[in-house]
Amino acid sequence: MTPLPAISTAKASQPIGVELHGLGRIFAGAGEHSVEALRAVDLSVAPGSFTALIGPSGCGKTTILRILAGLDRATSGGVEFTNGSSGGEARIGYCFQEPRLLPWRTVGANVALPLELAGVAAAERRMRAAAAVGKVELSGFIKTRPAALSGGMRMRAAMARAVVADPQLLLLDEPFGSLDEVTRYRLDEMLRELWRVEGFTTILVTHSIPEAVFLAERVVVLSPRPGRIIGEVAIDLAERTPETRATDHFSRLVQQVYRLLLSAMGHEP
Amino acid sequence: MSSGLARLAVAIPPVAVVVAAIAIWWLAVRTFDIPQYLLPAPGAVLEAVWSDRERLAWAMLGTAIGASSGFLLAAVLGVAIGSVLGLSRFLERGFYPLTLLLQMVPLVALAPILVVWLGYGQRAVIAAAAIVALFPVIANTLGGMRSVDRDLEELFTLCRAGTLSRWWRLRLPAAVPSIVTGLRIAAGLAVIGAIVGEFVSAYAGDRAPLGMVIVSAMKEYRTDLMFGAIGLAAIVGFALFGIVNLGGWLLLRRWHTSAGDAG
Repeated sequence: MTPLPAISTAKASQPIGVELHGLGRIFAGAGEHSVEALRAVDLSVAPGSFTALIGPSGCGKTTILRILAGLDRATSGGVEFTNGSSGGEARIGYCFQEPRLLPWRTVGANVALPLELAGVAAAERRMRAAAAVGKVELSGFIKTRPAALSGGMRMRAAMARAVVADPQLLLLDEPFGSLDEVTRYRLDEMLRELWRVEGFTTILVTHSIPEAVFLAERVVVLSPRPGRIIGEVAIDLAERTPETRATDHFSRLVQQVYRLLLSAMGHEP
Repeated sequence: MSSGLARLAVAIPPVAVVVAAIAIWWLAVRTFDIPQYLLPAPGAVLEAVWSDRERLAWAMLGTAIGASSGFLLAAVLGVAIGSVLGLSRFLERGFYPLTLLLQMVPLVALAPILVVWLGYGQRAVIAAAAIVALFPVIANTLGGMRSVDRDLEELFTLCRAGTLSRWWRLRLPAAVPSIVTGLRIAAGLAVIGAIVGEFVSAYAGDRAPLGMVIVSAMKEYRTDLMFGAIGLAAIVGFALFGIVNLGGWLLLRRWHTSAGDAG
């Protein structure tokens, strides 16, 4: 049996850094049909930072997250977590593109699942799940089953599940990609606030340049397959409020990322 | 349309079909002057049931007890076997082909052996009902556990869930809709198994179950009584099916609440 991760009862006090060294991933296929998703990706993510990965479809963004979460293995290169708790495993929260909630469980029981699987006592996990549900403003729905929730509410429940075990590293794979624009803006603001308060290292994969600029401190742009890092933009916005998206500076940053993305795809300005 | 009227509208087509079938039956008997020993008219069947009502009520009760006990046994064993086989591919490959035997061996051939082993009476009837009803429960339980959403499996991998934890918290609950489907099939089959068991293992007399009523009515050329007993056996089957359906609905209704309810 796979050993359960060590989830302490204490809040994560120490976010971890991430170092990718020459990360490569080739998906083997029949004959010449193998697909090289990533090639020699070097990336350094500081503890407590918020990094967004952006790039065209199929450039291996999700593969990077999956390798970090242990759901996939690199073909070459490696991953190193820095500042991790000594001797223990890194606590990683993951938010998939879809909510992936268990339909037979209530929101509270879904959110508590990682704690339950880690063997945390019932009373404590109820308390921590309630706190996580509160952070995503779903307290009124803790006993509701997923089928009775809207798409945005399900995603918020999935977000609460990702943070319930106080992750040192939060991986977000286009969590709001299927939502309407207004809901997405609101959830982006909620996520940004969650990151600001909790302080976990966050890596977000997204297709939306405005979302990446609004949320992250740094936007890393990947090339088309095989994915390689071709540049990055530091986001120096002073604050993030709903008004931020309407400022000239925000627009300039969006354009900067867009131009980098265009050049990654072979369109010279 | 109010929900009451909507429910009534749902009930209209099957009721209309049954009424039409009875009307055609009655017309055919009248028009072609079919002898009663071949095909009695609906009225004659009702009359036979009414005049033998006490015996038939006991018979129906006996069959209902045999069928529902066999069904319960099949449900418990089927879910247990199917879910244990769902624990590992090794167990499934080793034991699943053996469970196919339950499906392949004809019950009619097996029933006399059950009588030899368990004696005449209710025990052999329950065993016959359980044997027929068992396979769909096993197959559906196992199928449900094997068809768990891969995304949810991945979520459990991410949480480093162990085999038993994954089985208890993911595969078994995820298989519930499939198990309910298996139980629905088993409910109907249990009545068939009970009647076949009664043909060979039940006793005659005032408290004889429906299977024996059918056999003795056949010997007396009481086709009207046979039709009545068959109809009552069908009612037992419908009742068992209805109870399983209700249980399944109660269990699953909250999973299937309209996703749009919350906006």
